[in-house]
Amino acid sequence: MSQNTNGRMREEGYWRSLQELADTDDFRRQLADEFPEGVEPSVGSVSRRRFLQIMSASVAMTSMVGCRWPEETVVPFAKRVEGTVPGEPASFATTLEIGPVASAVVATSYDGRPIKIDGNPDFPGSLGAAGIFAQAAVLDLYDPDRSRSVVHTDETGATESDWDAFVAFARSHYRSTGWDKVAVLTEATTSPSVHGRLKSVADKGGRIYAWEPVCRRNEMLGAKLAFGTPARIQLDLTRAEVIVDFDANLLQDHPTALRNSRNFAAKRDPESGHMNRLYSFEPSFSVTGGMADHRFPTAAGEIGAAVWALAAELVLGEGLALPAGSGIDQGGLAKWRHHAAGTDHVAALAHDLMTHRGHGLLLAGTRQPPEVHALVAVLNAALGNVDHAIAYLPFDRPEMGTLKDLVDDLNAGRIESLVIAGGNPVYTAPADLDFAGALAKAGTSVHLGHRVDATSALCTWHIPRAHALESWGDATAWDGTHLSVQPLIEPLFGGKTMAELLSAVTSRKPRTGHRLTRETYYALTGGTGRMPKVDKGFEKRWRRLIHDGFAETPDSVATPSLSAARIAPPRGDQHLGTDNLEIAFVQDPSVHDGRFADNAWLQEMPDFMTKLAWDNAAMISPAVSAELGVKHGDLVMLDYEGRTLEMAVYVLPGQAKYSVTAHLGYGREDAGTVGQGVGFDTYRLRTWDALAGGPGLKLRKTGRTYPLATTQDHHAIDAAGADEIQKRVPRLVREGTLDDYNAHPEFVDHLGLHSPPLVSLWKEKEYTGHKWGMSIDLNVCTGCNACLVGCQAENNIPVVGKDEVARGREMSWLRLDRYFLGSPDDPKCAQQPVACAHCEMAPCEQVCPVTATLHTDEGLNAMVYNRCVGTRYCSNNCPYKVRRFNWFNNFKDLNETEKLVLNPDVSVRARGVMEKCSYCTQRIEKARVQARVEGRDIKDGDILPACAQTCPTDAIVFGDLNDPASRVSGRREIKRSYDLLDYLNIKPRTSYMARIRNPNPAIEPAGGHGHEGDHGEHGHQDAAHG
Amino acid sequence: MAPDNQDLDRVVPDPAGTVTDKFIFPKWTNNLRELSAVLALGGLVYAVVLFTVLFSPETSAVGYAPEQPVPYSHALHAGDLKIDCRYCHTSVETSARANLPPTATCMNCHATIKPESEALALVRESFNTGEAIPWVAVHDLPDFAFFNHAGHVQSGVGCVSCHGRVDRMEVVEQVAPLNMGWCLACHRAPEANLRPVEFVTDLSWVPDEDPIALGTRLRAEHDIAPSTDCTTCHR
Repeated sequence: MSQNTNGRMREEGYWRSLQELADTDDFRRQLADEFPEGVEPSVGSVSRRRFLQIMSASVAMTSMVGCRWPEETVVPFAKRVEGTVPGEPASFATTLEIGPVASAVVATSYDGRPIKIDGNPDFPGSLGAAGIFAQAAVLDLYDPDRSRSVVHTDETGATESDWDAFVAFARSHYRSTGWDKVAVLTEATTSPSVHGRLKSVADKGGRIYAWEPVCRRNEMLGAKLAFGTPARIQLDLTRAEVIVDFDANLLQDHPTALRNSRNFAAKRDPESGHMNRLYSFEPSFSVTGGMADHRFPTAAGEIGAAVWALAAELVLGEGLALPAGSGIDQGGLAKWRHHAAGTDHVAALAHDLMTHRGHGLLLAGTRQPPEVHALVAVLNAALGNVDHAIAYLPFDRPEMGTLKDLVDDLNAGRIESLVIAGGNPVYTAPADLDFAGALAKAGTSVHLGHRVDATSALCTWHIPRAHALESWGDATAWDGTHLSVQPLIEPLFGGKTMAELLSAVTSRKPRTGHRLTRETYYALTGGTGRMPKVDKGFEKRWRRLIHDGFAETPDSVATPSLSAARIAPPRGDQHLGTDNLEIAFVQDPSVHDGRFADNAWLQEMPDFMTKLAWDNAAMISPAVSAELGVKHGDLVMLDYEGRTLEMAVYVLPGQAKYSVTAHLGYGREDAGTVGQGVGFDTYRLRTWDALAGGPGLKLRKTGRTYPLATTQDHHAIDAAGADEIQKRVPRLVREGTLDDYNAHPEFVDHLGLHSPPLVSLWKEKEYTGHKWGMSIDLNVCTGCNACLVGCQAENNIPVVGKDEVARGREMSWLRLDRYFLGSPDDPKCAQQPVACAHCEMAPCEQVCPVTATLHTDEGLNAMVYNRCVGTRYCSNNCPYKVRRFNWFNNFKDLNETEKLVLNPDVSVRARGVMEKCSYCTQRIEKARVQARVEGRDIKDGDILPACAQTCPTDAIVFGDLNDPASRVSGRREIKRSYDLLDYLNIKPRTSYMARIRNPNPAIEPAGGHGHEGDHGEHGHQDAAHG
Repeated sequence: MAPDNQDLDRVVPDPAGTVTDKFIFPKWTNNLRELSAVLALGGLVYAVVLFTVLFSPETSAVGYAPEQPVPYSHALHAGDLKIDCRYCHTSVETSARANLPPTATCMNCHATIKPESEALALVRESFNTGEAIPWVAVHDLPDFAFFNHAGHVQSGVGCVSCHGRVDRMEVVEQVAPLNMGWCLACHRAPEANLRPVEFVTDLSWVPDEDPIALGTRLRAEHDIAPSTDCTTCHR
């Protein structure tokens, strides 16, 4: 455990960061200020005097121009498109492909400009939820750094060109080069149209290669080892009672993560008695690990050993019979039985799995080698879990060369002309391949990209790529469902899709994306030969597809039987230590593999676990931090396989002891104005043979430090001192075990502060009409950040940048408080979304000198921007610290394209104005008018705030508290519902539901949980009069 | 204690030759009485001018009747020809905006009626080229006020309540101040402006009975409870 500055250290209780746990001076300083750092020093470089001069001048200016009401014109369409109403948002079903994962979404367009992306509620793969990437993708559409024209580079330099020039060039070039010297490098795609185009390249004799920096290749190869065929893993968590996650992060990284989350949540319902149990083995905290009942920090390279130890325990300890074709030598299992990686609790885990045979699920992560996947598949089959909670759907994986093959072929001079269809391989390729060097050997190279990036800069042609919202196309969902991609807007900058580019490469007359997509669907739905001009049957199918966004799910195919020859056990011990650390390369939770580096919403979004914004960092364990004397924010030199990288360190509680996690996707020198040079480029350490990383990392202090902007200690509730926080946190984020809950359903009340009867100082307002309220179920909140991005997009929340985030001036209306519980080496974790709770007795309203914040008749704590004079008293008096102040005119510098993403239903706030969660009041008003138009009352479920709409686990429920039949009223009746800081008598409208853990009694005997002290203090006394 | 050096020059000896304390009014304050009278008068004038300007119809744009690119007469179309408002303003019952009609709506009739008219040249040009006719907005609310036509129309607020007798206007002009006080007056007591929904677009409709009595009845029947909360219009 690391030493602290004040010499005090707590072992128990909740804490949010190691700084807080160690109670450092830094943390104390943070607490002292409502707004860390005052306003004066940082209003740009403008001095106060100069500021006043400018202000007085601008006042004079406005009073002169203010006399004239500007004349505005209204420009209706000359011919309005049938069925459209100007000013009314219209929604379209389409699909976003992010890496090899396609998800059906609904995109909303306002007067022809897409402004919001949500999940498609009818799509079984997401059940209406949308992840952070899908929601933030709309911002990329308006990225001013997108390339605006075809660029052709020859000996004379780069010149602007156009698509027609490229088509003319392609018409002769590829034939004259000879197709055997032509290669296509594609990024992962599930699009049948693109695969059709790739096939026509291959048919002509061209070579096809594929590269995706973070892919699911190992999973497929593992299935091939076990079943003889590559397969896509299908999960149905509603049928799993015991789940073991081996670094798979099935609630976030799996292609059906959104559905997994919803189904997982459905089985975490203590009231109905459906409580599954989740075990997690992982090197670094993931969303899934945070939800686990038992989490075992395990280095990525040790996870294979852990699976073998579990297998040995199951077979030798529990007598599990291995089926035929398991490929496991029973005799060889013995030496794994008590392997250290299996942890002390492997017997309990094995027993749990055995008693839940047929209702269990084991899953390995994509970073694990194929052998681990194969063994996991064998165990699933042996336990009878296959075709229940997990199914292996055979998948015809197209054969393509790898990036390594391409580099070899380029270096050997076998390729003269290369087409790079998507991706940014110069940036993402493993460092040892020297892709840039190999690329130079191709005489002609064409790159399709959203921006002129590192790859485009080295290619002879750059073709601007169309955003998904500008494209016609198709994709395939993880279960094989055909999905459609339709444009909401004409390509802003003349972008082309992958299929269109490849069509230009292979055909004399390139076809449009629309035609290619239709032809593909025609062939997929049984059409043969050339598509006829008129085919009424097909038109009907096509219109159905475009309307729904997805076709019928194909019949599921049973998992093939096991046919493994021999599954090789992992090699011996890795002997990890401070001089032989493990490095694990992981896609970044904010910018994926780097493709979202220029997305300001995602950059500003604090990481769900580290709360780090605008950066990545090498995550090390508290133990390594202590042993090497490396502190949070130190710059260290990472030395791996002969390559070095200087990188900042983040000491993450719960990190596997000798494992260092390095997120990919940062440090891009070729991103746009947003992502340029943000963070550290860990691709520079990655090698082809160890894409997931491995042992052999050395870490050396440089003596320098680096400012990391984290939001974890910002907006600390009740800044009454760190000791006090320790006492109070268990009241804020309440939790217990299932056994506690069953024995004492009212335990949640005992966790609160026991105050004398609360009496109001004045007459309380009565609410006779609607009474809006919200309930957030901490039992299923995974902390995935989807609500945060949804809120950002809906409510025009500004992005302020790293410096301002570091000063605690982030603007997000919703924040996710993450608390650790227990020892820093193996803590538990709890997530708590906090936004304005719309207190009935709101403390903010009592101190506003200008009534800029006041209560509505339905109980909303309204914020009137026009009245606000910016005293910030309200924020000082807010016990939840959910009010955000506009220190700057954050929207002033947006250009015309960037402004298009703004939601016209929500005012854009100016400098000097306070803002906060409004319960999406614009949606309430909309539902009210809609109900009036339809001549009915507002129904429960009519109003979905953006956060509730997108929540993958349905943790957030909004509705009318005066309607006893509403879902939110129902939730309040449940015994584990509680109010945050209820003893202040502020009567918040947002209530929380306590988290219920379901530990294995064999691992954690009843009573061994955190709140015991508090419970003992008040419980019995209370039970007497309760 | 001796006074500070800096304050020595302010110290004035009194007739008896002793030094008084430093808190003595400077000489110019003798004119304060006259000065305050001037200030009060000036303040009064300022207040009068300010309030005159603030509440003048000019400021609230009552009477604003900009010239339109096409001399379209509501008096002719809505008044004499009795074309219903909704023939052109189609989305008024279902959408926040009533919306101006596309040029195609004009051409429904004017393809055959007065197809050669000089006044309609811009309309034909717009229809042929697809370029919009740049109508000038008459009723223009600030961008932070969110007004919803459907909500009002479906509650039985007649077009005439806000827009006046458009069926008598050659050139449309603004008749109501459209300021917040005016909105709130109706939101507090909407009875005078309520009518059966079927007569909403009938600008000349007058009730057979006392309008307030009718409005009170309609309000109860249709559960019309206009809110005066800020969030109703400001988000």
